[in-house]
Amino acid sequence: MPQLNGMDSATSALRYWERKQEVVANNLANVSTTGFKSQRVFARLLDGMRPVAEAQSDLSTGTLKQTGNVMDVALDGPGFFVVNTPNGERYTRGGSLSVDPKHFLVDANGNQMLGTKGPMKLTDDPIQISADGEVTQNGVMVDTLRVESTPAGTEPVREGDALWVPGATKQVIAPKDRAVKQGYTEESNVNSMSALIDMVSVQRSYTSVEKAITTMDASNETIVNQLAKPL
Amino acid sequence: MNPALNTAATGMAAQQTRTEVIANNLANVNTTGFKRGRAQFEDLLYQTMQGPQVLGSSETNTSPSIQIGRGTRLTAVQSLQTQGALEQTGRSLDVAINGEGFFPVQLPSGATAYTRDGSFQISDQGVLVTSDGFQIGSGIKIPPDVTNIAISPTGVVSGSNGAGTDSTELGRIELARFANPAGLESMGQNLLSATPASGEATTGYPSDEGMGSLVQGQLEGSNVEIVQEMVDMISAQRAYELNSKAVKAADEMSQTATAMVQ
Repeated sequence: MPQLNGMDSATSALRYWERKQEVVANNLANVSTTGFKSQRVFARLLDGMRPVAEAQSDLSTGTLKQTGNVMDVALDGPGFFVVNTPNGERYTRGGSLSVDPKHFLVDANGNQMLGTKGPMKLTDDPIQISADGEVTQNGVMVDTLRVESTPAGTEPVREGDALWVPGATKQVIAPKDRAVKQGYTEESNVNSMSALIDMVSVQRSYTSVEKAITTMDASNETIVNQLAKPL
Repeated sequence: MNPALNTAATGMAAQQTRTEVIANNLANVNTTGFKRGRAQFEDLLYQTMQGPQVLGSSETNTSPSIQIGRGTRLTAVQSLQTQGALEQTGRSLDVAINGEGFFPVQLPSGATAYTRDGSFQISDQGVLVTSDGFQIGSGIKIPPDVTNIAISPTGVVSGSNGAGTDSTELGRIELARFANPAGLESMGQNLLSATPASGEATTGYPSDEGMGSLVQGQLEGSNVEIVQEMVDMISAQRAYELNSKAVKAADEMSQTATAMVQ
């Protein structure tokens, strides 16, 4: 029944456009989220007739905005900072750090920032962070912030709360490939204009697939009610 | 229901909060020692859709999993502790901090609060107080007959009674500083209180290492820059509009889907 196959493809297509719409809505909702990485959705054809959604993160660095707040830390270049959460190590693109009651350097959610020697215990002195990620207080080096990522071509899994789950293999990003920027925050890398255009095109395509379904349904109706009329 | 509706709604709520923070910054553009606030956001949990599965016999026909986020949420409104412009007032009891540090203030409850607002006055008890009447530090007594009060960059308060007499030291203003001043909590009345995020106060005299120096006869203005706030406001408004369009698009898609059934 070629017609039912047509219906099948069209249903897959509707699902695909819905997924895409959800991702575009999430991109738009996060236009002012610090360190947010926009997601792209594209279709892959399965069995030559069913489109399914596939997503990829755009890991490019967002605009770095100077804030003058010494505890704002951003990464210029690839990779992630490593934090210690109750669920294990996680990646984050930085943001507004602070010092917890036990004097550990923590991220905005209170997760300890990890250096090469583990969590970083600080004193009450002003904190300086160099481009290489070296944290110093009163001229004394505390530790170096870890900057890692998953191997090239792969991406860590998103967890929400500005966190990412690292993969099994970790790759250290060399200081020459990135710079730690103190006093900066990284803005979301969502391009609101292209997200808007995506949204309009999703909506139009959705409507045209819907038209295809109604047309197929109408011809089915003709077959059932007109051609199959008992003589 | 199309989940995109909720996602876009969180985006709208975020932009609204951002506008509220900007409005408060603008309202305090002339508040002495005011530090501009900034709303910060994080993404919400991700849902893994159409988990990886092999379709048919061939391994290459795998349906990939995709992660769909469900919006954004407010994590913090931070105050940005950058220096505000110093404004000349000529009043001898106006003191600005040039650099890091806060004046410790004794609240009636006995707790200590911190302020950058140095428009001091002398209370009916003859003690140096803030404009709201809270005592500065452990209290500096200024006898009623003292004139020509001088406050040095290092915090020494001195005065002389009558012309020609030598000036005597009346006390010294201390400053407090924090490892993470952005973690201080605003209490209103230009006062801030220490929190676990800010760390404990380190006290010292002005101009000591890490502390700012005092400037008599000047006040620190607000660090709000109107142009910056205006630009932020425009971007918040546009982002709000964009998210409302996403709500509309999601709604129309649902309509299209329901219209299929005749």
